[in-house]
Amino acid sequence: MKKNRPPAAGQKFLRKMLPFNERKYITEGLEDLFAINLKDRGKALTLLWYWKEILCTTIVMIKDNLIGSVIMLKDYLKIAFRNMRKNKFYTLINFISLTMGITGSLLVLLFIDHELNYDKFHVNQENIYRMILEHPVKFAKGRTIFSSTPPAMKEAMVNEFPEIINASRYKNGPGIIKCDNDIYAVNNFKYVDPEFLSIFSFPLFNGDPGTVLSEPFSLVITEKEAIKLFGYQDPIGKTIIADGKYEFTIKGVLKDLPVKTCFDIGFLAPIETLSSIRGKDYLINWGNISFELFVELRANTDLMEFENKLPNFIKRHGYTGNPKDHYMFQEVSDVHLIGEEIDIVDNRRIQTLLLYSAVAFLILLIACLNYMNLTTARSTVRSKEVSIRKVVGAKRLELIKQFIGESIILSLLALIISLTVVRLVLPYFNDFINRELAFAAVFNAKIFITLLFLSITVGIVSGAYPAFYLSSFMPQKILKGSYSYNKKSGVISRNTLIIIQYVISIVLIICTFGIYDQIRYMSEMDPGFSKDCILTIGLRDQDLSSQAFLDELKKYPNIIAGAYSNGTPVRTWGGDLPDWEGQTEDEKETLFLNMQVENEFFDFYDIPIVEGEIFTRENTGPENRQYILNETAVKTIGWENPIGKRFRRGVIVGVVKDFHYSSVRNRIKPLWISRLSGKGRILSLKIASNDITSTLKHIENTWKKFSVNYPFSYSFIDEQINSMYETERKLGTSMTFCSLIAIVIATIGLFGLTSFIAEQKTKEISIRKVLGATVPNILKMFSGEVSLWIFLATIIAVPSAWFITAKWLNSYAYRTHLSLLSVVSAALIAQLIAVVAVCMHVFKTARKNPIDSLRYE
Amino acid sequence: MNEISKLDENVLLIILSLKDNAYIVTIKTKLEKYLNKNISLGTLYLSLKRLTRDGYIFTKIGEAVSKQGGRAKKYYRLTPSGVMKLKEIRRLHMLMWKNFDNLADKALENR
Repeated sequence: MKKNRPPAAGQKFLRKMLPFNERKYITEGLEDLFAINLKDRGKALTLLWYWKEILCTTIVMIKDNLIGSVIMLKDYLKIAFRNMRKNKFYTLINFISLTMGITGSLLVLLFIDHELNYDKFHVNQENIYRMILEHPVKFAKGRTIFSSTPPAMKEAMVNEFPEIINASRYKNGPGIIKCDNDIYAVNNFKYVDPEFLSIFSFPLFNGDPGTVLSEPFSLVITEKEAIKLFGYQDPIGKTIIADGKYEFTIKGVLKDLPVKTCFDIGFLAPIETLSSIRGKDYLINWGNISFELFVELRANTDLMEFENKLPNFIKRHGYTGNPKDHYMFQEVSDVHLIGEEIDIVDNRRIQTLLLYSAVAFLILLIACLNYMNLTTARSTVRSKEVSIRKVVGAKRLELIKQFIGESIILSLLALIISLTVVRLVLPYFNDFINRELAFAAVFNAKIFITLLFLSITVGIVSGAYPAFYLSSFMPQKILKGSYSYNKKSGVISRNTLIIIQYVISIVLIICTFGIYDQIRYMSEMDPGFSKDCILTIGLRDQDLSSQAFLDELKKYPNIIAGAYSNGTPVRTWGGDLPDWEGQTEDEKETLFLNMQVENEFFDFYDIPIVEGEIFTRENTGPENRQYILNETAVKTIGWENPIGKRFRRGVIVGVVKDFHYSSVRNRIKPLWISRLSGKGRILSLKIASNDITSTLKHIENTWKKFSVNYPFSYSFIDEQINSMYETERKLGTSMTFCSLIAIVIATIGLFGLTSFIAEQKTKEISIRKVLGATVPNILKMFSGEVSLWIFLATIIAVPSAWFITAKWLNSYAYRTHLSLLSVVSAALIAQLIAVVAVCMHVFKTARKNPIDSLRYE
Repeated sequence: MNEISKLDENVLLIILSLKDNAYIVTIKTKLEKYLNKNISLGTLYLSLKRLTRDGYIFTKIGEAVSKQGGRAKKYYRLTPSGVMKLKEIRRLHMLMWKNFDNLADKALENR
């Protein structure tokens, strides 16, 4: 008998597919049929028949099930929409918070997608690299990376390494161009090799990419620049004058560059031009590392192996830089995101992305918690529906499916509205993050799928808890009316949800305050030099760097003083690795910043000399110079008495007090100052604070008298200082915005919840009133409970906020600490908002005439 | 009256013809024999489910008999409305097929 049985696995599988009350008969029937078949056809054929039978049955059952669930879906949809219509208020609250959450994440998603997809449009994108240089420098926290190569490296690499298909140097060109007597300041004039246009996919309107850049002094111009310079005339063959004397002829027009590229190009000229301008040797030396180099490698080149060949290669060719310099390849698509950083570990772009993602996630979480909270709170209303469904035969799983389905519908609706909202706010967001995100990117398959996935996940996450909670009701108890909704567990979990929401909000608020504390600290901090009413003018034209210009300016009474220099307290001139008397091997790689100033400079900027004196001798050349160090430099070297010590090829004559010449994010670095030799490149002017407009007008007029080739431009020192803290200020603004959204979502959630509780407790309130409670009494009763929640939330939030803020502040060399005031005010704000939200609602209920709610008929 | 599928119609007829002995094994065997093709158990089960839902057949649990391992079987019978349905189908069929032989012959001759 046993032998005649069908395979147990198949039978078990069949049982699983069938409804409980049918299982027995069907499987037994199949068993009988198996036995009959076995008699007629033999074992093998019967087994074949059996599995075919199971397979066909499975297919048929799946089909049937699908049809069934579509029918149920229609039913669920109907119920979901009815419920939404019935509870407009709660639905609206859920909907608004979900929309806010999804909108935030959508913006961040667009931003991330944008940032990660720079320079991906080049045909050979994955084989294009930029040469970067890892350079050992002290005082940097992580790796220090520069994108600098010597100009001769290109030719040598192309000749020696067959892995390289094409290579192109890239260097900034002239900053001033003249065209039809109009002068423009430009920063997108670049010198490149002719191969540049074949490595990168920047198409030309006309002209052959292989030849347009082959002759020196030819020029390729972008469409945008062409329109700016020539209107709608054909620019081909026209000429422009760069830096006052070099004439370039336009040979081709480039289509405007896509937004997502790291290149900022308006004009392209062949790099060979430089050997005409700067002399024959300029492009064939191994010392001047001021060129970027892009290479296109053959596919499947082993980068590690290639990089290992490079140290030997540069040594052989007589590379004169630091012998520890190590060249590497950087993918072109990483150039935007990683770029060139002094501290690559401290990469702000990636940090910002992470921060935005974290905040978007938190906001979304608050929105989900809101949904859970309101839905479970309203469970009493739906418990009857659940019970009836259960009595009629719905299984728990079906109910869970139904409730999760409802939240998914809501979140998908929220997604649709979010798309509209994003469309509206995108221009402002773009302005804020300084990018050009396109709304169309939303419909890019990857993003769209992520979005759908995101909102469905939000639906599932926020629907799951209510679904399990609601579907757990016992129908007999609910329908009999003996079920108590204030079951302890339900209340506790709801409070927990509220507390979590507030913890997140309070953390965000405290962090925001922390950021503002630091911003205030930075802007109020004494930079160590005077900064009021000082403006600086960059002098590109040699004619302007003369005492005559300054004298002419000084004739105007509102111009109080002036000083020439290379570098200002806000922006140093350069950096190098100097040597000094008694320097140890270990100290050889200490980075010093430097600048060249006139003696008036110290008085002008109020920078005190703490030891020694100002320069006494003219700067005549690299030998026998006089140097002034800052205090940090002296400390770094470790001299007790620095005056008269040998430093570079000169002596120390003085020490100035430390001043903050860059963002206080960075520690003050060692600095040497030497006397200006020849013409200064920057003129600082101190002006009277009254009637600034006409003073500026006067400066401009004087400028025009002295220089015809250059446009006038200036900037104020305090504005320059402010712009150093632009990142922080933006961070502050965005955090304010985010914490605002968080607290709003949390509060409308709380608002909804209290309105519900108030509704539930109408009778209690009425009885209390009848027994003599006053409206304030009742308000106190409700708000007391809420205050306790918020208080708990504050206790949890403060340490974590403190931790996060401390971590953030740690990246600043000069930092404040989270002030008690910030913490207390954040807590108070949260309390106040919560209590007001609660009272607003309870007040309405409490003021009602108790008779209305207590009377039965 | 609802339209029913050809398969359901056949199942009804088989159940009717099996009289007291209509349970899943006999129905399947006979159906496959008449139609000369394999009808999977799932297909048959769904058809029986539909017919039960629409009230054309009803089920009765038989008593356990000593034969065949002593299992109880679920027997299917036609309800009056099931019989009415079959009658209705047959009436329609007769209407449609009236004079078929004649007409078919003529159609062939005219070619």
